[in-house]
Amino acid sequence: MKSDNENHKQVSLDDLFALKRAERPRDEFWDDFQRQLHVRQRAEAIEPKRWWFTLPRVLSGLARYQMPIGAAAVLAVTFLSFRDYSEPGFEVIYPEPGLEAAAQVPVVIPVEPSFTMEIAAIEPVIEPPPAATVALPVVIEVPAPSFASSELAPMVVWAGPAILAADIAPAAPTPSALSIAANLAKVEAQRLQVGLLLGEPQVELAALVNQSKTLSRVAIPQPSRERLFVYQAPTEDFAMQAQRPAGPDTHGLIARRISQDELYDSVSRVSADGDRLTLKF
Amino acid sequence: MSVISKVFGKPLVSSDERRREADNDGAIVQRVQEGEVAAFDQLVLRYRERVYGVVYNMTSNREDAADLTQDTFIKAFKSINRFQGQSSFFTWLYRIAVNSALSHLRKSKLRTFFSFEKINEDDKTIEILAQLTDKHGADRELYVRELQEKLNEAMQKLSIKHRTVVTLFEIDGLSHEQIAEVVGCSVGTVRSRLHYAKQILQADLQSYLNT
Repeated sequence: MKSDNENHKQVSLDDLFALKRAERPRDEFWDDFQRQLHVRQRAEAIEPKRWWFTLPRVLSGLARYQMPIGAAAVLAVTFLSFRDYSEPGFEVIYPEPGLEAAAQVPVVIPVEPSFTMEIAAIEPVIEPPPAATVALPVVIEVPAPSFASSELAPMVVWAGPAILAADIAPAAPTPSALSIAANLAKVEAQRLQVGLLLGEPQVELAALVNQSKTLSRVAIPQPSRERLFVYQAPTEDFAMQAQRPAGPDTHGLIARRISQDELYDSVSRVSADGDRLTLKF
Repeated sequence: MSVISKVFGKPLVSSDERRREADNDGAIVQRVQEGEVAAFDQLVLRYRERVYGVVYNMTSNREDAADLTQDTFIKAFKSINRFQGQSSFFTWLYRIAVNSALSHLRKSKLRTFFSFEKINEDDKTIEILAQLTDKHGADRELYVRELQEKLNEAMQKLSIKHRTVVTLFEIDGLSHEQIAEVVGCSVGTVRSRLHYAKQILQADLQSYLNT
């Protein structure tokens, strides 16, 4: 380009800006422009304003209160967060005495995806505790697994609110402790008979039991283990024992210590073997 | 804009003229605010070409410029009741136009199409073109077209901020103070941006300019 115009005087940047300024639309353009502008003006005048169009103006008016509004928002979020956190995900309505009909509504507990338990309220196996420590008797019905060797009886779990330590009766022998003691007594009697026949020296079996850590733990369960008790279906003997009117209700007291939340959170593994169903907490 | 100086090749409006315009604008704006909607047409007639020029030179697209100029006047009409008169009406209107153009440019950064207006050949432009070329007829038309493209390409190579300052100062003839008010920065920043932009343009249009 420059070579084409070497004989001509070149121009300055201001001259080029002047050329740029000369880029103007024709007069017809402005007629059309004015007409379109009037149309748009009228359209804007009759078009209803959306409610969110006023938001910036409203928010700009609240700008001076940004500190108190921000603080209130933070407090609200904090309050709601703590409230949500404290609310249990699984809520059980404990029936008042005399409201057994309301307790018949089945409750479905959401558990691990591979395992579903359905809880249906049933008649309490033992007599209900005093009103202050009412527990909801529920049955967790576990669908029978694929093995057909035996039909599993419904597993009974006593779940209820944690009760105060003062409400708990003094430690009483558990069914397993009673069973072990009975078995020990039988073995002791038989052993004594056999020993007398054979002329063996007499050894105190109770002392051997005390020396065995495993047996002593089973015989006298630790408090931490008591709360994890899961009972199988009561046998006839056991049902008879449970219906005894006198004495503290040990099973109910122990089972009541498993709160609903703990049950939901702590059931981790379920296994079935023969006629036995095991829940690991 | 009645007083145009051709000494430096750009329009210059005297301060008296500006003051008279501002007083007149204030009276018209007051009438519009009182409900006389038709009075707004006087403001449109007065400023439409300047607003269009600013937007066109920022976008280098005449269709976009037409739409943005209409948007500018619609926005001004809708919010004229909020105009308090703290600045002159034309500064306020320019600010709306520049902000609309900037918003449009940011949204359509990746798709840029040029469509140019024809250069109106008045005495000044004919003189400049005669200095640039001795071609006539169709060749001259082609040459002018090529020059126009080069100019707009050089403008589009500038950043949006620099292009805005160059457009307002060199093409529309606003002062540094007025540009600072329209763009919302200091006068020093305006001067700095202008200096830098002119350096870039000078380098880019080297083949057409005296060095």
